Amino acid sequence: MKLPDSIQVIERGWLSSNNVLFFEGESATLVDAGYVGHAPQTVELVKSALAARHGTATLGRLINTHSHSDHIGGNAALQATFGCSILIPAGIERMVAEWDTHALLLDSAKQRGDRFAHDGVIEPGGEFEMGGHTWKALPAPGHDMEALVYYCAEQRTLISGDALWQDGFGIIFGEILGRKEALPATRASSPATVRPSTTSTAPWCAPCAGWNPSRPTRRASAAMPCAPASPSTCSTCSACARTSCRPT
Amino acid sequence: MEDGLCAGCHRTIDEIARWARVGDEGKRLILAAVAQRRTRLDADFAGNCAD
Repeated sequence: MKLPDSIQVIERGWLSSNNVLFFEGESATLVDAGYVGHAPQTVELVKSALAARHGTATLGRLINTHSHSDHIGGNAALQATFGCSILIPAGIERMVAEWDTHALLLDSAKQRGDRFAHDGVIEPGGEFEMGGHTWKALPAPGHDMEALVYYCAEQRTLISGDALWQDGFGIIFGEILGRKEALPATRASSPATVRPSTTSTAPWCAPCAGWNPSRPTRRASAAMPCAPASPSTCSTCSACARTSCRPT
Repeated sequence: MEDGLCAGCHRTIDEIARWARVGDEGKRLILAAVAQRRTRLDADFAGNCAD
């Protein structure tokens, strides 16, 4: 499964959010911003990607999937560099506006983030354009109770944030936070390709993308064998440089 | 980041930005370049320590 040319995934290190760049003519949109400590590198990576894409002058918009430090840490630096507008999930608007570092799960996780001003919110169920395609915001509580994931029915592609990682792995904080209803019916969207915010970006198969809410284990898809959508099942880890292959 | 290289993985900004779309062969080429850089950096480090 190959992504459209209008989408570029910038794969970051282990336990840091990836950045997904959508080219839109003279401007571009980025989903998620990396850690505050990595902000200078994130700015340089976006500059490099824009420069390589001749004709795309600047980053016009930044969209977050949720409030965790590796997703909003680079917001302020990107905003200062590019003057981009920032859209956040509606559920974290108060926390961001008041910079409630406890509610943003910065304090409890001993994380930092540079305060930023948001320009608008994305409501669950809302639709918007990115990279020439229409994306729908789906609520995905579990890892973060206000998280949104972004689904493009036309491309059958899901920007899953941290709701779903490669091979179905993810960390569910809902139970830790006492929210037993964590994990919604996001699987109803049945995407063909998932772009996890964290871990390698190797193509992922549709059956894996659906997790079972009745089995909120940390490896939700471990008991769901499935055939990869793509015959190319080998990928190289950017962190350890090992090549791993999954069975077909 | 020093000298335009990531301090952790020793890749250039351009190499990191392209990583997800270059395919396995492209990744191997980048990793080969990284191995050469590490050899050079190790040698520089050893030289500095000898001073």
